[in-house]
Amino acid sequence: MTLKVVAVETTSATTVEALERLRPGLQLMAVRSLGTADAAEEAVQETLARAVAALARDQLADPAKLPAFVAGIARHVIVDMQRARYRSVSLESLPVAAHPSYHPDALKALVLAEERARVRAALVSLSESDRDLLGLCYVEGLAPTEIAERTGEPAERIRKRKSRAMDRLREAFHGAGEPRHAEARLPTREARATGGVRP
Amino acid sequence: MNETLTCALVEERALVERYVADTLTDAHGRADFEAHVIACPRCQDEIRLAMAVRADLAPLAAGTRRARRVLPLGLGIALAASIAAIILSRAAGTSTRWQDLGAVPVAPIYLGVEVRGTPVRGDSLLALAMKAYDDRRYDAASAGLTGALAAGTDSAPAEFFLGAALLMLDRPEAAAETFGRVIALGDTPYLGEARFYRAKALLRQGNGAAALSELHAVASSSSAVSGWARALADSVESRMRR
Repeated sequence: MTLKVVAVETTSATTVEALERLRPGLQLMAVRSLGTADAAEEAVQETLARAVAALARDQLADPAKLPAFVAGIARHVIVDMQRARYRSVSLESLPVAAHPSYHPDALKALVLAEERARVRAALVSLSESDRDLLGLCYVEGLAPTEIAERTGEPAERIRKRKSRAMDRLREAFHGAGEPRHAEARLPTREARATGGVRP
Repeated sequence: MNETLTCALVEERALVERYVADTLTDAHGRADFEAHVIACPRCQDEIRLAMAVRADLAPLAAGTRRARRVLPLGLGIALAASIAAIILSRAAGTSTRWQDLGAVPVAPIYLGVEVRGTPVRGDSLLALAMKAYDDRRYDAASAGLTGALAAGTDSAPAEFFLGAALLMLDRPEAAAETFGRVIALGDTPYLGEARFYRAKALLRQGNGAAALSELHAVASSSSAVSGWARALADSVESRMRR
């Protein structure tokens, strides 16, 4: 489903196109927060619909701020959905169709099985100290300067080690022949199911 | 707030790292970061890569890292000396011999589970307990999971995350027993990780031999954690030889 049906009468084609370009990023943001592709899709649709309505009312003064404007709407939508999800409701009081269910994880929704396998293989080929360094970065969320404070190693050296290690992982992640950053499309539903390549 | 970020600033401030580690708060400029990310395919790719890296490193962020945290270079000599004295005085004991290898600084990540065809009351309790787990409120998670199990939720995921919560609460004996129940369920998706984390719990109790046995069982399987189990088994064996 695209925005065209909703927006055709009130929003210019250029605006719709600009909003559609934000869709992959919104999807990523929503999956990270909501954990499932289906819930994320719902959040993205709701966000874009609200954005179209707001733009039709001229609520955005500076067009350059469109991503920030849409990201703000997305945050509200996601928080609303999280509140609804965790509201304490007895299951017995709900019809079976309305029972909460779980879906495969956010990681699976965002990263293909084969991309993960390639990254895993590349990780194993790194030295233990580089893996430890990446753990401090991506598990503990530390910046090189913070790691330097903790370990005593110069921040610049940490930055270089991390950069070299990440270059190897990035190469593995994208696989042979795929251009870097050329497509940020998320795995399709079919690809998620099969672990296959993106179209 | 309302700062227009560039990819260079994102990198300089380690915002992708903080974002995937869930430590990027509003005070750190989360809103500005998200505004940048939704329009930046490059940063979207970096996040996806970072998530893949984190998923593989999180279960292993164990052992030496905790030990290093105890002894940062910035500590004063007197403090370092007193810590060293404590370590040395305990080195002969079995329990502390394996403490660092048994450390689990980051809890196993909850990936969501499929609910069976007809949900039972325990499933809603499981959902609430796992919310607490995700929020790192392991006491509440532990109580909630116990309630969910009593109410009839699927035992494999509930027992597994109960074990994980107990491990994070530094109750290795109860954790080992709980992971043992997951293992006893046989071939579930949690089998490999249950063995891996039971090994961690056993190491924290000072039982290197039993931990090694669990690690060998995972290492020879096709579990996602078998590579890490082999690495940990190597460390345990190496320490046993000392």
